[in-house]
Amino acid sequence: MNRMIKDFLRGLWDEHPTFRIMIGMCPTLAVTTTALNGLGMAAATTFVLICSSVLISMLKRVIPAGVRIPAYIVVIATFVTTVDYFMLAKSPELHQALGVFIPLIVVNCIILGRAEAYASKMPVHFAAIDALGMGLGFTWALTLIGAIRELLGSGTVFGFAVMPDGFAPIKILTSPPGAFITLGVLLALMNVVSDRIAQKTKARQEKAAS
Amino acid sequence: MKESVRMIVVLTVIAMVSGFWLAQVYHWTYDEIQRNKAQALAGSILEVLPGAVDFRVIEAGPVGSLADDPSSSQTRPGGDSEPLMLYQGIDDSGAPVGFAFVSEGVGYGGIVKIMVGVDQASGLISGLAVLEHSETPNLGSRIEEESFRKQFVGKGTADPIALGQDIDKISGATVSSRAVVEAVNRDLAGALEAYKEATKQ
Repeated sequence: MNRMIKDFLRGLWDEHPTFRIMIGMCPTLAVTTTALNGLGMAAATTFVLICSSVLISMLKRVIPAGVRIPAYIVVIATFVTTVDYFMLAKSPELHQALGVFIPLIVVNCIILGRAEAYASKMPVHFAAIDALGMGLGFTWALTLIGAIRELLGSGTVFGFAVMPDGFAPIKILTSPPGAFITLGVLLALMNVVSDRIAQKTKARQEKAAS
Repeated sequence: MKESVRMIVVLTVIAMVSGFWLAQVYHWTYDEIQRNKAQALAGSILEVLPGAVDFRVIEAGPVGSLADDPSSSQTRPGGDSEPLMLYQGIDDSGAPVGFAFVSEGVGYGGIVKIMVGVDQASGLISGLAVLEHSETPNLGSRIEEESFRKQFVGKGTADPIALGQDIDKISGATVSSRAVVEAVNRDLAGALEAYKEATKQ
């Protein structure tokens, strides 16, 4: 049980896909112009990640090593196309906003990376919990980046105006360079917080030892 | 040998299951996607025809200007064999306010589909909306923006609309801007002619 909780939390912080392993950068930078776009993209990716991790884990003894990558890609592409159709049916606005990045989930490194490094070697429930953790980690990152860019770039969050009247939007944050700037600042913040936590744990351990 | 046979069989089975599943998904979502498309189309027709509250469909045959090109005398270029559809906008008193038509141009990332509205009295463009495109987000996708689209309003068939002179292109997105201009120029004269023909009686 402990092992599962640890696996789950790993994706949220220690091995965070966006801020630690730095994979899946294309959607991270490209679609996070608003909080809703970031959340929608991340939710679609999380769904595909969980489904394909579970299926690949189930098929791990069936798929021969020689064709494992093509097999994973077919599985992933199938789920991505499923999401694509359902989004087109249920939320054409979101589909329009995310555009070409929905089909591009197929080549998202997080999904193939987790399939290759984890799901293909682990039992189904571990694969599922790992995918959920990684997916939620990706979700909070993209939503946060999107919210910051939307707040400072357009003065709204999730479409609601929250800034005072006199606020002048910083337009650059809604354009591609803004994505790099936001990501860089967040990375720096995350490193500071991580260092603090590490120092505190170390101090506590030394105290306990002495 | 045995291993390679297994590879082929497993991959084939996975691909087949995937194919069947996607056919099923397509079937499930087909109606709703078509409904959404029809709704988006209706919305954009009313958007490009100020004053219109409803519209009527007029089916026009192959358009005159296209008949000059032997390869497209029967069908519209771009691969779709549908005749040009004209959508006549009607105001709240039932009088026609103009018509709208769909046209296409080739952009940077694929086909750019637009809706062009033409004013009844003047025969000049009354509005333009982008229906579908796969242009680069934040760059080519800015053809959707009001500031670009409104440049077409009031332009007409007297001379072809020229990019750079009549229409300011979006910086960094010349190809996408040109796609919209080409789409307008391609069918505007023909559609106007067909509309006059269809509404003569």
